[in-house]
Amino acid sequence: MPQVNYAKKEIQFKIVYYGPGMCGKTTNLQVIHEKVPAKAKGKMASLATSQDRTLFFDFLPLKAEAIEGYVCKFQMYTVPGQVKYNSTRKLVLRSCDGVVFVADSQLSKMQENKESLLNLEENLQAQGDTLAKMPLVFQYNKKDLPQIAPNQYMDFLLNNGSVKVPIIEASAIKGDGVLDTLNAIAKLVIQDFVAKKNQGN
Amino acid sequence: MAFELNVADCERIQKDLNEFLDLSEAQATLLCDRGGSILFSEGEFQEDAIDLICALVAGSFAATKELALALGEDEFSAIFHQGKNNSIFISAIGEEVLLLSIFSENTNAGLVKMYAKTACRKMQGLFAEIGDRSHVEAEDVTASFVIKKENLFE
Ligand SMILES: Nc1nc2c(ncn2[C@@H]2O[C@H](COP(=O)(O)OP(=O)(O)O)[C@@H](O)[C@H]2O)c(=O)[nH]1
Ligand SMILES: [Mg+2]
Repeated sequence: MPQVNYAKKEIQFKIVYYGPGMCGKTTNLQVIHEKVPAKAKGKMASLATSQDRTLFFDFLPLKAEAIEGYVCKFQMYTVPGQVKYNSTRKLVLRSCDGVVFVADSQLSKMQENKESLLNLEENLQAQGDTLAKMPLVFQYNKKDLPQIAPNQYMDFLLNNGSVKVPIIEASAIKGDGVLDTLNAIAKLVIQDFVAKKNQGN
Repeated sequence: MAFELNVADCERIQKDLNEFLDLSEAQATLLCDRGGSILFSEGEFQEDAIDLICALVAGSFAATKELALALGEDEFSAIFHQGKNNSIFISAIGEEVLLLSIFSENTNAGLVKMYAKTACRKMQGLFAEIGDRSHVEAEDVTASFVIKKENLFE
C-alpha cells in the first residue's frame, strides 16, 4: 500500500522498472523525464558507473492529480539488471506498489527475460508480496530492431499465468510506448489503491 | 510497510521534530521510510530535491547495512557523513523509519547525535502505533477516493 498523508492530502506510490540488463529501463525514465512538463516532476538521479550501467538505481519523482482532493506522487525507480546486483534489486523493491517489467524483444534475449521475471517473482515473495497480486504491466521493448520475437511468442514465454498482464509494445529509444507504459501502470496502482480503500482496508 | 498519517499524527510528529531541532540546533530534519518515501520534513529543503533526498537516504542506509553484514554486525543503527559546510546524520526508528538530520559546521555533531537518539526513541512508539492501526479513516468518514483522470501523463 502507498503512503498516505491525510494532513497534506498526499498519496505516494512507488513504481519499479524491472528487467534484464540492457533491456531499456534507464532509457524509459530518461524519456519520461524529457517528456513530462517541469511542474509534474522533481529531480532525477542516475547512480551509474562510468560505463553507463546502472549500479544502484535511477530515480525520478512525478506528481499528478489522479484522485479527487489529493496530490498523487509517483516515485519511479529502475533496478540494475545484472545478475550479481540482487541485493540492490531487493532494496529497490522494498514497499513497491507496482512494477513495469521491461522485456527485450530480441530473440536472443528470451532466456534473460525469463530469468529476470523469475528473479522478480522470488524477490517479491521474499518480502511477502506476490507477482499475481502486484499491479504489473509488461513492456515489450526494442521493437525497432530486426530479429525480434512476435508478441505471441513472448506472451507464451512470459505472460502465461491465468490472468493476462497488460502488454505495451515500445521502442524506448525512439520514445514510442514509454508514456503509454507509464499511464498503464499509474492507472493500475491507483485502481488497486482505490479498490482497497473503498472496501475499507 | 505503508504508513497512513492522519492530522493528529502529523501534529505529534511535527512537535517532536521541532523539539529535536531546537535542542540539537540542527538546520533541518526529515523522516522517510526504508523504501525511500517521505513521511515528514521540518526546516528548509529544496522542494524539488526532497524526494530524491529520501530515495538516497534509504539507499545509503541499506548499502551500509550490507557493509555491516559483511563485517558481522546486524546493521549500523546510525550513519554519519561529514561535509565541508554541512554534515548529515541518519538514524533508524524501529524497522521501518529513518530520521535524517542536516547540520552545519557551527553545530556540535555530538549534540545532534545525542538528541537524535532521544527523538528516535520517542517516535518509535508513535510509529509502532501508526503501523499497528489496521485502518485509518479519512478525516471525513463519508469520503471515498474518486479517480479523477486516467491518462495522467501526455
Ligand atoms: N534499438 C533500441 N535500443 C534501445 C531501446 N531502448 C534502449 N536501447 C538501448 O539499449 C541500451 C541499454 O539501455 P538502458 O536503458 O541503459 O538499459 P537498462 O540496463 O535496462 O537500464 C542502450 O544503449 C539504449 O540506448 C530500444 O527501444 N531500441
Ligand atoms: Mg539501467
